[in-house]
Amino acid sequence: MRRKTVIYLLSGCLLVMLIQFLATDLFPNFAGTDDRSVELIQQIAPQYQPWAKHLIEFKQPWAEPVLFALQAIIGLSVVAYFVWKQSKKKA
Amino acid sequence: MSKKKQAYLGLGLLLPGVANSMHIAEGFLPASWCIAWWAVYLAVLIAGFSRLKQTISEYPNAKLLFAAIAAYVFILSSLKLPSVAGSSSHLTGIALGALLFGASSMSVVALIVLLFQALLLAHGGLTTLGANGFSMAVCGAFSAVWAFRFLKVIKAPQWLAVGGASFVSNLVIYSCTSAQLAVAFAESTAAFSSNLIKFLSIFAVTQLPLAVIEAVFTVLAFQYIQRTNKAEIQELNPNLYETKNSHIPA
Repeated sequence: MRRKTVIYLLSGCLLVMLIQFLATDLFPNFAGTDDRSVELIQQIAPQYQPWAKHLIEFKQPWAEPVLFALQAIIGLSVVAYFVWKQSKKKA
Repeated sequence: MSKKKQAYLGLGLLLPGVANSMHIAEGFLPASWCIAWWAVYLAVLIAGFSRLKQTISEYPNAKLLFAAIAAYVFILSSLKLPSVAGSSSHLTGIALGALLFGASSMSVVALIVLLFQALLLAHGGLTTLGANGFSMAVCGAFSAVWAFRFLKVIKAPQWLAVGGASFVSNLVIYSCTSAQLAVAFAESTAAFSSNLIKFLSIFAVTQLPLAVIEAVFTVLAFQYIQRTNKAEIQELNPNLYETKNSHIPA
């Protein structure tokens, strides 16, 4: 892979991580639709008790954004490889 | 696609994201409904896996394209965007793969994404994966294909058909999630309608502007793939560009 492509890829990954962290502070009151739907379920059926729990729970607030950034980075890496292969094919 | 357009697409994908998801949370669907949705999703998943296996064995050149399509879904479903009404949600990216590889193939991609999020990110859940997979990969993917077919029949230009399919797919996914929750917590038909309106007011309203953004991304991504992988696309789906009787495999 060309050096330039690696630099772009790494910059993209760093930018994703940075934005994930910043967004948590910039939009703290923007609740996710999943959280709002849980609230609505508790209103509609107050007697309902969730019968399963997540296998992992995050104690550190930064863990979640980091893992979501990791997901984006995995995707970005594959897309970058695809774009690089196409440009190589073209050349 | 020009370098400038590629840069815009890349920057767009990196818009503010907050770690959360749109899926039904773990344990927040009664067990009987979880089993039912898992059963339906499994049937589509088996069909999708066998179809994908056949496609890849017939067209080995399409492997990398499929990986890129899956990665596109991976990226879009990880980035959550603030929207109207103080809520935030994320894009799905399902329509692009559904149009290129057939709707059922996307059930495999959805399984990977949903498993990753349920196991590592504590979003969605294993018990609700069947329901989430059904809304994302069955309702979302098939609605994209049908919307595309309809738009091609009425002779809409290619970009509009692709964008329209993506827009419809995104909205259908969240409407389906609303319906799944509404029916699970309804004790009567009247309660179902009332619940549906309440859940739609959360999901659909938030999703409307995001569906437009996803449509733009999908059109740009489709145009890029069309330019760089036209031969692969025509091998996979020779009728994709026909205006009449467009047949996209389901």
